[in-house]
Amino acid sequence: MSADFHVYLRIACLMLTLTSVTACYSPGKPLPPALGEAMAWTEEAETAFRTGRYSAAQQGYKKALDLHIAANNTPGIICNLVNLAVVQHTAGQNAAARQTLAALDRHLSLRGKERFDSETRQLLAEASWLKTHILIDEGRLNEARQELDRMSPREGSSRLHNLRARLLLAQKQFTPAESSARRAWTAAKREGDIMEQGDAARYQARALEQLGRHAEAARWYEAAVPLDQNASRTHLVADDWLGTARAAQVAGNRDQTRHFARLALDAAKRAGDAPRQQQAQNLLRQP
Amino acid sequence: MQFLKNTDPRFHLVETRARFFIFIAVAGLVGLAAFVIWKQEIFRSSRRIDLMATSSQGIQRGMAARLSGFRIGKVGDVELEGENRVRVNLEVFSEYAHFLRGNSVATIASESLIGDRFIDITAGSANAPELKDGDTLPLSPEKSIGTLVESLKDEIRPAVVETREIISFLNDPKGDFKLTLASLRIVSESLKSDVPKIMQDTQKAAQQGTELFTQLNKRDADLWQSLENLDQFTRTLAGDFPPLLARLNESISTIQLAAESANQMLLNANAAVTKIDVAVKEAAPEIPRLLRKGTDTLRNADEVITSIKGLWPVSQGVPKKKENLLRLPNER
Repeated sequence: MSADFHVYLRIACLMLTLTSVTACYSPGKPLPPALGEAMAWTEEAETAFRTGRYSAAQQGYKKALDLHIAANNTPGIICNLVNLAVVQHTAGQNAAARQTLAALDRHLSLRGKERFDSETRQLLAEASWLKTHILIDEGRLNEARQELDRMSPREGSSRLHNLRARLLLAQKQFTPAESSARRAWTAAKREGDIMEQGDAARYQARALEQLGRHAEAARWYEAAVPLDQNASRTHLVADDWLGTARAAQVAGNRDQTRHFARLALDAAKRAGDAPRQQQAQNLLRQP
Repeated sequence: MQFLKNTDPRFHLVETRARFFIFIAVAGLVGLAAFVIWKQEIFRSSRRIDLMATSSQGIQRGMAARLSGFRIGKVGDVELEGENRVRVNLEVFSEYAHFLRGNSVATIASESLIGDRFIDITAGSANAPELKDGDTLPLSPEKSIGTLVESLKDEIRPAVVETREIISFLNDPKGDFKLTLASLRIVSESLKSDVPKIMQDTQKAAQQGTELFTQLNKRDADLWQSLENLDQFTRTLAGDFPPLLARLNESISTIQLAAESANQMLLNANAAVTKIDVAVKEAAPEIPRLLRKGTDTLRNADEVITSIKGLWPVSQGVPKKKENLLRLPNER
C-alpha cells in the first residue's frame, strides 16, 4: 500500500460524496402563473376582510377560486371556498355561506373517494367546523350535533372541543360541556393558542356557573380575563367580569360585586356593547 | 431943557425900552419869515421832473410825492397842455432823486377813502437810467370808486350766483335739506312722545343702580366676601410666589447649563459630521463599485441559498408558500 494509494482513495471518496450531494439537488419548482395570480387575489381579499370591506373580499376570493378551479387545484379550491363562506357569514349572509359550503360538498363528491393529504384534510375539518358553527348560530342544534358527530375528532384539537362545549352549553348539557371545555383548555395550552384558551376558560366557567359551582366559575372567569385582553376581545372581557360579579353576588360579597360590575361596565363601554353595559348597570343598582 | 426935566418915574429910560421893543419886533418878523421859507421848502435843493397825466383831477399844488411811504418831493405847478394832457411839475428832493429811474411808475393814491391823496412813485430797476432834471414820467390816475365797484362786481357776482343756487337748493321742497328738516321734525315729534318713557326707564335704572350700590355697600354682600377672598388669595400668592420664583430661577440656571452642554455637544457633533463628510468624500468614488460588488455577492449568496434549499434534506424543512385560511372565532 503506497502513500499515493491513500491519496487516490481520499480523492475518490471526496468525489463520491460530492456526486451524491449533487444528485440530491432538485431545483425549487416555480409556482404556475395562474396559481401565483390566485395567491395575489387571496392576499388582496384577506386585506379587504381585515379592514371590513366584505364585498371586495368576496370578489377577491371568487377570483382566486375561479383560477384554482381552472387549474384543478383541490387545496386551493377548498381553502378559498371556506374563506368565502367565512366572509359571507361575517357579513351576515348565512344563506350565501351555506350555498358556498354546499358547493364544496358537490366538489368533493365529484372527486370520489380520493385520499387527501394532511393539509387538505385540515382544510376540510375547518369547513365542517364552519358548517357546525353556522348551525349553532342559527339555533339548529340537532343538525349541528349530527354535523359534529360526522367529524373525525382529531386528537388534541382545542378548536373542536370548544365547538362541542359551546353546542352542549346551548343544549343545556352543562356537565359534558364542562368536560369538553376542560379538554379544550388542556389542548389549547399545549397548542399555545391564546384565543382558544380564553374560550375554553369561559365555557368552563359558564358550565360551572350553571351547575351552581360559583367559586370555581369565578376562578375560570378571572382566568379568562387576561387571555381575552391579550386577544383584544374587549366585549368578552366585559362578559368575564360580569360572570365574576355574578359569582360574587351569589357569594353575598356586595363590595366585590360592585367592583367587578364597574370593571364590566368599563370594558363594555370601551367595546361599545350596550346590552352588557345594561347588565353591569343592573348589577350596580342592586342593593 | 433942564427946567423941563421930567421927573415922572413912568418915563424913566423910555427911549431904551422903545428901541428894545422895536428890535424884538423886527427879530420876530425875520424869524417868522425864515420859518415860512423853511416850511415852504423854497430854498430846498430839488430835481424837477415832469409827470404827464390825462387829467388834473385829484392833483393839487404842494401835494406830496412818496416812495415806499417816505415823502421825497412835492407837486409844483400843474399845467394844461392840451386835451387829456396835463403836465405836473414834480420837485423831487435831491437826496432822494437818485432812486428814481427811467422805468419808475407814478400813480395818484390815497391813504384811505377819505384820506389825503399823494403821488406814489416806485423806484425803478437798478439797471435803468437815473432820471435827470426835466425828464418825464407818465402819471396814472387814481382808481375811482366806480372802477373799484366794477372790479368788486366781477368778484362778487360768482359769489352772488352761488348764494342764489344755495338758497334755491335749500328752498327745494324735494331737496335733501327740506327732507332732512322734515325728518328732523318727525324725529323731534317722536322724541317728544318717547322722551317721557325714556326718562321713566332712566329713573327706574337709576333707582335699581342705587339699590345695587346700596346692596354692594353692605359689608356682608357677596362682592365684599369675594374681595376678601381675593385679598386672602393675593396674600397667599405673595407668600408663595417668591420661593416659586427662586425655584424658577434655579430651573432657568439649570436650563442654561443644559443649553450650554447641548451647544457643546452640537459643536462636537458638527466636528464629527465634518470628519464624516471628509471620510464620505474620500470614500464616495468607491461606493458605486462597492455597491455593485455587494449586489453581486448577495445575488451569488441567494443562488447558493436557493441551491441549498433544493437539496433533499434541506428542502423538506423549507415551508411551502400557501394561501392563508381565515379562522372564525368561537364567539364574536
